[in-house]
Amino acid sequence: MKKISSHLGLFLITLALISIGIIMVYSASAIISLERYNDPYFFLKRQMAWVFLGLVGMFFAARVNYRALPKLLKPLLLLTLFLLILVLFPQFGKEVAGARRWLRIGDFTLQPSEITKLILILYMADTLSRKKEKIKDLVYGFLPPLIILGTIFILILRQPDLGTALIILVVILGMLFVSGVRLRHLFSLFLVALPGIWLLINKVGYRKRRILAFLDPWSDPLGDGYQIIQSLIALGSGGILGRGLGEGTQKLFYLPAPHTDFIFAILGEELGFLGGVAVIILFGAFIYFGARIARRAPDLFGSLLALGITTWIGLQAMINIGVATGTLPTKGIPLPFISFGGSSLIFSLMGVGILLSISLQSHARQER
Amino acid sequence: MFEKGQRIRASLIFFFLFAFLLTLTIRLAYLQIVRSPELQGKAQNRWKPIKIEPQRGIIYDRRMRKLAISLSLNSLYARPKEIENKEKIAEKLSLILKKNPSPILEKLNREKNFVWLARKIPKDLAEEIKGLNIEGIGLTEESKRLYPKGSFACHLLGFAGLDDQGLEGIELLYNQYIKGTPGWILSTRDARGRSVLSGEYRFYPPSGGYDIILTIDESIQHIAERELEKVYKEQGARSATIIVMDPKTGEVLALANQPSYDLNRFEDYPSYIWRNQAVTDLFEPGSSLKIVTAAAALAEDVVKYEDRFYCENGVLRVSKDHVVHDINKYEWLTFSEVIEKSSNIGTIKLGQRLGPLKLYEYLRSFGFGSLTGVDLPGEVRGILRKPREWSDLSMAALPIGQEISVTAIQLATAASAIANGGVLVRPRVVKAVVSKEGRVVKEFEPTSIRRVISQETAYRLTDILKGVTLKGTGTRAQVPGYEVAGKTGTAQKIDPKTKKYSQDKTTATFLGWVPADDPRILILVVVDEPKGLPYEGRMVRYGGLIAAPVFKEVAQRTLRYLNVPPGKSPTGEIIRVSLSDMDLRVQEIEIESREKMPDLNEKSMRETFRILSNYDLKPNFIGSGQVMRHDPPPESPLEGIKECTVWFASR
Repeated sequence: MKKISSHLGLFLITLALISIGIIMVYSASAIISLERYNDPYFFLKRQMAWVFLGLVGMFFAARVNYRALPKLLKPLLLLTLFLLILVLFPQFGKEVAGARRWLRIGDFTLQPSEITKLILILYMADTLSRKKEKIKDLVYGFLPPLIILGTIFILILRQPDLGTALIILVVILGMLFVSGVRLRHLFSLFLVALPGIWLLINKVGYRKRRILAFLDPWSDPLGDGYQIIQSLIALGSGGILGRGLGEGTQKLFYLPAPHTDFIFAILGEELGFLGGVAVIILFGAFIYFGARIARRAPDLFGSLLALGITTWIGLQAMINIGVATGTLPTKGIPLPFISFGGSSLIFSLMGVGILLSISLQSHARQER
Repeated sequence: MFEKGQRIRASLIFFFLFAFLLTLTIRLAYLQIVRSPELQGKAQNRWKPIKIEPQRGIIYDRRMRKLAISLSLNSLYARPKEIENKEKIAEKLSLILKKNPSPILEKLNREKNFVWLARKIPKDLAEEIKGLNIEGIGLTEESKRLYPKGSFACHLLGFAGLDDQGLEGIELLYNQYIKGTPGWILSTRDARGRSVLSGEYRFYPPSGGYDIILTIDESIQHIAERELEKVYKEQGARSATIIVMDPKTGEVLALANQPSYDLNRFEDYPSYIWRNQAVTDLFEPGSSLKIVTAAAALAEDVVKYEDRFYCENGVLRVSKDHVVHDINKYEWLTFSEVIEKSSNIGTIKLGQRLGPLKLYEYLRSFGFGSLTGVDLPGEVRGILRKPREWSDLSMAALPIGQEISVTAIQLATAASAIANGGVLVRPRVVKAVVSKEGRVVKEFEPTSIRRVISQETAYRLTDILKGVTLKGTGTRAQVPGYEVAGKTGTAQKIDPKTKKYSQDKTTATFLGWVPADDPRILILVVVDEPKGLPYEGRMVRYGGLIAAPVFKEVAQRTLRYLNVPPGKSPTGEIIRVSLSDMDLRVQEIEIESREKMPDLNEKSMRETFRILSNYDLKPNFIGSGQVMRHDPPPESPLEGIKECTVWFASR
């Protein structure tokens, strides 16, 4: 692996994951597409279009020197906040199953929280790399980024989208941790936040039920435990080798969202343990190359940026797989590069583009 | 680049990620290898879904009158495992349902968690069963589509089949919106279809579809259908079609075809009757297409009102073995008279002035040979060949509406463009899609496609077409109290045997709008193969004789229904006299004041146009709306002045 340059490795892994995604989206959605839209290729066609757009975005981001990105940050950050507020209004935000996470744009929808992840990581990497030593100071170093993080966290919670909010929180805290924030600051933050998190879970009925269902799904097999059980049944019936591509039955009726949040369960049913492990290994390799890019980046900004993007994608993949395997409570989060969905795909690929740009820059420097 | 402390912390993060990945791998192996047999077993014990069709949305007319509804009917099911005394219950149910008890008992004896006993039973029976209050017997709502008015608006509404799928018309095209989402009844079974342990059972209710609001007005549709049926029966016609639309917005107010069918018993009729001929069937329009030839000629400035055409005494030889006839023999006719009297020969000569390319360009522009985009299923393009595929005879055929096949909706849409002042609009049948809670899901605004002729050209042509109903072939379309612009059409049909135009098979059409200067409705009447009416001692099948009276009846009633105030010029026999009076008066004013420029300020474009037509001035119109100023200004002498320019603006 040492001989492969990080950008080539990362690029090939991304391509592999996207290809698996296209195949699985088709396999998982063909029946519901036919039922709902009279066209088995309905979701496939859209996914292909978004892959194309995402790849264009990725190549574009890879060609741009990542050091130029902070110049665009302020307007982008404002735009992000604006979109996050806009989506809360019923006139603009499309409500699906009680949550307003999508902005209507003509026939298409945009998920502002997907852009937010990328922009916030960029912002944090920029601020933290410029603060350097000052980061150890509570008022000037630690608090300002925390306020931005808090605002965005609350806005996303209002949608409500706890899963995405938590991913953002963990990724940003990770960046703060690595950049050198004092451990006692982080720890006291944790103590302050604890009652809040407890409230978030206990006050909102469905979250509490989901946690309970997670602990014992079989207690209410047709209610809150339903999705988890169906997902476990899908994985279990896949066995080691799987039922074969397209042969899964869970997607027919039993498992809701088979082409989005629970696509890993369909993959496990059709391609078996081997297929599931292959995907986990691919994400492992993604993290490996991402970590290498972070370590070899020519400056602190690049290192933090690479770290942030890698943890975001890695963590999101693991949470999704964790939910599908019943390891974590149910959260509606897409599997990066594989789940159906334009916003997630396009912005994840932009993130990969930035990683590629960092790697290309450090490569160029070594050659000089 | 990390510093030393940072590098250690970063490694910690990545270590944590890899540890998480490893956990997931172990968990996956546990599920897919260790627990696989057990979970696979569960897969076979799982829920057997039974689909319950949702209630379809209601179809309303533009004033929220119900045209298609769904009735809630009850279906009876049993959970056999919960039932104790099966024989007795089967007995009781069989009495209420008036059925043999043994098949009911057989169902109750099945080793299942769930069985249907009877689907879609009447409400009173359901109530009676509910009153028995038997453990293990339940009722769910299912829906049945009902069309309260039978054959009313049948070709528009279409119908939904037994499985509640839209199969024709609006029911088909808007099925996505109307159908709703199905509900489910889940019950457990094992791999052999037998029930398992606890025998659980779950009910997810269906949710109803969206409602549709049509542009159709039930009352106008009623008027149109009645008159159409009358002419269809009296004339023993092969078929007939009527379209009533608002030419300004493209909203279809009524659309009907004959023969029609009862939507509640659609399966009793042959499927060709289900077709909405107004959009799926083609015919040669004949003379009614002359309005496009005239519009093109006016727009291209190749003709003036008073230009004269020699009409060859009714016989024009266009090639060695092809002769075009006029019904009546004329020598010289002015341009307006050619249209009023519908002279084929005159119109062919008009077409020659245009040339094939321009004629084709205007026919395309008016929408012939392409879809109108109306929201009804099965629309066809019609046939309009390109000029290079035309024969030597084409220029003697196309200007008078032969060698071209159109749909009724195309013809009505094209005429709307003249009626509304020159803009081709997209015809529409659906106004909005709304949810049960009253939220507007989708609204369809009027869409204009393109301007096809200038406002001025449209007004000039409308003036000529008023003449058609005043003194031309369409006098039977006159509506007392209103000015009508229109055009008749009598197209001979090609005999499939001889491949020649037949003498006694025709398509009789009338196309018109009223009030002519500010139209509220445009009506197209098409009667296919009428038997004919006696006229001057023989049977004739003219559009002016067969279709125009239908127009008159429908227009008169509709105008009254819409409360359209009568216009300034009444019609009928008396009117022609008063009209000539008016002509004289206009001429007098004309002579009086011809030397000075009139005051046009704040006049509408139409008024301006009418006033200026009495002067020997070539007008240039700029803008639209009301007159802002003009050159020469009011009261200035006109001696030696040949042109004037008028600026319009809307307030």
